[in-house]
Amino acid sequence: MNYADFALIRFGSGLSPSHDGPATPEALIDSLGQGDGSQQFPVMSTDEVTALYAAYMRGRRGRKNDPALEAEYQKQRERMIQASWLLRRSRLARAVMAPVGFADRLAQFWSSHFSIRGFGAHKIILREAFQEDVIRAHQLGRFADLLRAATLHPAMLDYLDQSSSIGPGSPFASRRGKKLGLNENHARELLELHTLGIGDAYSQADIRQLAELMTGLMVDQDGAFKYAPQRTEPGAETVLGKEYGGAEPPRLDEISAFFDDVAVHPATAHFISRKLARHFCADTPPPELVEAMATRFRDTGGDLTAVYEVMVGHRLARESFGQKVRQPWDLIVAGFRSLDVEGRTLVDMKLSSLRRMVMKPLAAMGQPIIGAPQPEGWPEEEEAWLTPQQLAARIDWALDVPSMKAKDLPPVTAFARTALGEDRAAEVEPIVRRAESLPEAIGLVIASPQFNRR
Amino acid sequence: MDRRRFLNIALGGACSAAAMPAITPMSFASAPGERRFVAIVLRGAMDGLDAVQPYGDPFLAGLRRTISVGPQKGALDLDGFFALHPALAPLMPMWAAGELGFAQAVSTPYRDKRSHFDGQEILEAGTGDQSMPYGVASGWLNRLLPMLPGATMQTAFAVGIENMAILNGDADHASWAPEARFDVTPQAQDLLRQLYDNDPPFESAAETAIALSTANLGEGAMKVSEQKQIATALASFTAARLNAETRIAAFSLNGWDTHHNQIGGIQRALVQLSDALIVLKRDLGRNWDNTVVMAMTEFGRTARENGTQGTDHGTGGLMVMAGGAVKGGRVYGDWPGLDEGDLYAGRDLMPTADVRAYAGVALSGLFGVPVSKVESTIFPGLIMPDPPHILL
Repeated sequence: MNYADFALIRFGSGLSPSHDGPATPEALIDSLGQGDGSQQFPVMSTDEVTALYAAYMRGRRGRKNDPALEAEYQKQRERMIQASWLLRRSRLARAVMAPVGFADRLAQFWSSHFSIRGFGAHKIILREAFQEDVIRAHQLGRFADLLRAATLHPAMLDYLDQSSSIGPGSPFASRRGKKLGLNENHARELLELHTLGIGDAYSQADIRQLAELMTGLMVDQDGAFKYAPQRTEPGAETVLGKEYGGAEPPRLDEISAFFDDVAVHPATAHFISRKLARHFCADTPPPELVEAMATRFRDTGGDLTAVYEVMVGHRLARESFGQKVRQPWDLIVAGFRSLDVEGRTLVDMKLSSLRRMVMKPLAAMGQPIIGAPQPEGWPEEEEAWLTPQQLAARIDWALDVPSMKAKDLPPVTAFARTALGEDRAAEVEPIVRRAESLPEAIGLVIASPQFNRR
Repeated sequence: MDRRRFLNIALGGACSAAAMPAITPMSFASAPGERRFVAIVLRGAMDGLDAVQPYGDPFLAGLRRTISVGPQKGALDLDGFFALHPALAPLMPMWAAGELGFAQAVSTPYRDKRSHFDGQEILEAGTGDQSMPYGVASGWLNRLLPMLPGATMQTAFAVGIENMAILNGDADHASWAPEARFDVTPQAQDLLRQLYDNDPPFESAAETAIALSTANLGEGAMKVSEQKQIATALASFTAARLNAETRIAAFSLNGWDTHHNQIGGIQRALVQLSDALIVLKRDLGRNWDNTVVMAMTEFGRTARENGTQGTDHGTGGLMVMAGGAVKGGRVYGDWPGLDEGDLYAGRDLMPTADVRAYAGVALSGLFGVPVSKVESTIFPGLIMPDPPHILL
């Protein structure tokens, strides 16, 4: 297999009759900085989401006594619901239409690393904005900046309960009569899931100290990020053996200083490198690959593009080809792409078709679009994606999706080459050509292990 | 016995069974006996001190203000010391009938890191190893299966969309979701088999999917597809399997990670648990008498309420047991107390028993597995010197 096909399958959105892959690792890295046609498909920034939500909340708070505000409330509510569908369609269309799609795959990876789940239109569009402003904006830069942006984003502060955590000795807590205090959820997950990884690098005491240090980070009543010094626990905290905070009045950059340090901690370098290699290369990644990536991470102070560079050019990434099972979202993207389904079609398709072709299959395959059920994000090991009921859903979808191109299906030989590349097509084609119909033959190519692996 | 005679007996048996509802035709399957075991994994760490509130402990009120306030806020007294969370009130008849019990202050051997991910891995692996690498070789229910005489693929059943690691492993078992469908022509099935021939994970999942789609899951599966509530659907589907060939089943209920505003958060999760148990009893009918259900969680939560009317990750927790084969109507376990010095690491309920010991007693009693096998193979490293007598 040439590097172009390898790169599209392993690191990109999959093979497509409309795009050639990058011929070299350098070209693959360069593709990250090039436009991906995203202008065609609408996105919303966090500020836009916040403004919309603020208008909605103004209406909601006053609507009982004011018909104008009631109308405003209804209007903004409807806008949020519309946006919640449009933004998810956009994300799908972008991944399908991207020339390479490495940035989209990275965005999927980091959205699982900084996993957020939320029901209701507001939380859905805020999560989409998080992907845009936090993940896509920072996934090619320093890990410290990505970590800071993710941690301070209102969607994360809300999801991990940071917003309600208050320093027990803060002015805010002592002014209110009732007992207010810490919630250690975000601090724990920041160390365990976002940076150091589970292990010996931190203790329960570090979690408590970090929870104290992080007090003051909150979401205001309109859903925007706010730093509230009056909620901050007074005094300095010691986290991972170093002292942070303690300024009078407290300042946000004191918390930021911790993010800068933990983002380049050796345990973080190893944890992030291993997780990337687990996602892109193998459930049990070769230690040599992980070490090469972690070394680059440490040497560059957490320059993420430099770490990707090591991964995509590494001999072991090539040798472990086929060991990963495509996650359901990626399977659906690759399936649409192989059939040359247009992004515009996905944006415009009826809601009932979208449910049938995307939402329900994703849920049945184990990856509902609403997000991972737990803050750990999506599992990597293939057992988690290949239960009989999940495979049944993959097959069911594969046999259904050719109907999107009913009148316009390519011959099966050509399709197998487009979808799988020359070598793997030769394994699959003799079997699928015995199907009872062309759509079934094409569906079987998409159901094949060769298409489901990368 | 000649073939004609055998057929006569078989047909005659089937006819008379149909006339006698007490014996279902499924009784002729080669499944190992009539006893049944259901494991429910409560993911996210259930707050056992809120589900079964130790209101008789003088220190509870000092630790918790808005949650777990006992009978004065509607919790139902169980034994003068513990009270049941009001959301579990529909289970009171089960308690009164001796078909519902609890084990307080239990845990796996997992300590100190309080990670959901690792906690659940260790719970489902059933091992004592704390330095577990990613991915567990097998789950403890899977290691039970080779000890059951005549076990077939459907003897053990994982229910729900998500993978159940508790049943992962070498021994063959079924896995399906109430809402799953597999409707593929015979020709396509044949071609799929050939496509998956050289890829064992795909091959084995596809074989199970094909077998289950053709093995008349029928009525049970169709009925539950109409269920709106996930817990009800899971329980109803599970009961239908257990009324047929299945004797071991497992599913999960999510939503227990109540860091914030626990009053609202835990309500939803407890109602799901309550619904699941009630539907299991209803749909199992007389088979309920031969059933043990155990609901367990990765760890408990902090004894102290946190600053946001919730609780953080803790250690000692609660196991819920139900079924006609359980000696219920009591809360098992040595109560460690809630005074500052009684707590684990000054913050969590001190575990006084290994949750695996309760499961081990159940498996040993239900399926005749020797205790030595429980200690060596199902739960390696577990020692059960004085096992609790939880079965009738």
